[in-house]
Amino acid sequence: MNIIIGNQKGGVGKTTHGILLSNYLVLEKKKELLILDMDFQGSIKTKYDQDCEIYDNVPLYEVLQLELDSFSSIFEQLKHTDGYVIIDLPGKIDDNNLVLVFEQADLVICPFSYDKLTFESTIVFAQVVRHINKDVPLFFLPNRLKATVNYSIRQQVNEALSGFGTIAPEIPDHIALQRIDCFTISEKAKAAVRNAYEFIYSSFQEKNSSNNQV
Amino acid sequence: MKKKQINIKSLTSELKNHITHKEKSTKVRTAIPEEKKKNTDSECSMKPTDNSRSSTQFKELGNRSEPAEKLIDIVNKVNAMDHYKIDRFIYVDADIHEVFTKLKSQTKLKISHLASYLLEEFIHQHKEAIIEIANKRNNKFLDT
Repeated sequence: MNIIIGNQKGGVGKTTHGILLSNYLVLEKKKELLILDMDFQGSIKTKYDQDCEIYDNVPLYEVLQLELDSFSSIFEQLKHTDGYVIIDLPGKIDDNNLVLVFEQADLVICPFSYDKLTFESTIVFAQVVRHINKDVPLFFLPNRLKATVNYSIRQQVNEALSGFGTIAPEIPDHIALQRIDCFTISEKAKAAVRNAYEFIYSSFQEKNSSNNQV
Repeated sequence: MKKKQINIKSLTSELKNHITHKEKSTKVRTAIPEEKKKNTDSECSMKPTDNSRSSTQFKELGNRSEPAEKLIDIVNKVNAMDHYKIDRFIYVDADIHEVFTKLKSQTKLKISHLASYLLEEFIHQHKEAIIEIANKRNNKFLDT
């Protein structure tokens, strides 16, 4: 099961949700998983290594850093695993190696925020994913919403993105989502992400089971 | 024929092997020009290699001073303490963190165990005073 976390825009929360979703799947859903950090910045791998040095806890999963061009030599192995593989992508779309990654995806999660620049990048990312893989479930994750801000383009953005995938429940801006590690998920962070993650998880499970019946 | 499903642990080790293999082949390719350069430079062969340096470090580690031996004993004692339920954070000074990170990398010290152990000692030492302060009421209805 390959779960991709990507967006052409940087700084939308790919790394944060890569870690939080992985922790959530292991701790709440008791899943076995592996993270492939394919972002050239290697943020998840760096965070994971730092956390392993600091904390004594047994790691929940392993993180491997891979370059995008290595994917062609490993995707066959990924096809035959019974666990979850979370793939953190770089914030770019102009790499031919991404074609195979999108083709092999079982689920794509695209964090974004309601601002014009992010929307423009997100819609391009969505178009590319849909063009390469028309069947993959694509979830847009509205991230870091401030309670005091009125997002004037929210409705237009949701309407435009709905043509490519499903909009997940919004994730509020919360300090607990900045204080994360690769071993735990705090109660406050869990409360902030639970609705969105449960929505994606149950929608995906539902779709998956109906596909299997067909 | 349907290929057998592999679990995450097997997949991880397969991918690790793949990465190691790729790194090795990259290193071999980049090492060739350096090897040629070494052969032409006679001075280089007289200098100690990385391997000889690491063997010296290993000897130094094996020949510890008495205070270092005592510290290792404490580390082993603290690491063996399994009655702590470690699931809460504490924040410490950045320089203290640096010292313990170094110590952890050298001695495999479980920092959270040591912190719990030191705080437990503190609690034992001041147990009566802590109970007195904890039970001190400042409530006009309860104190009368």
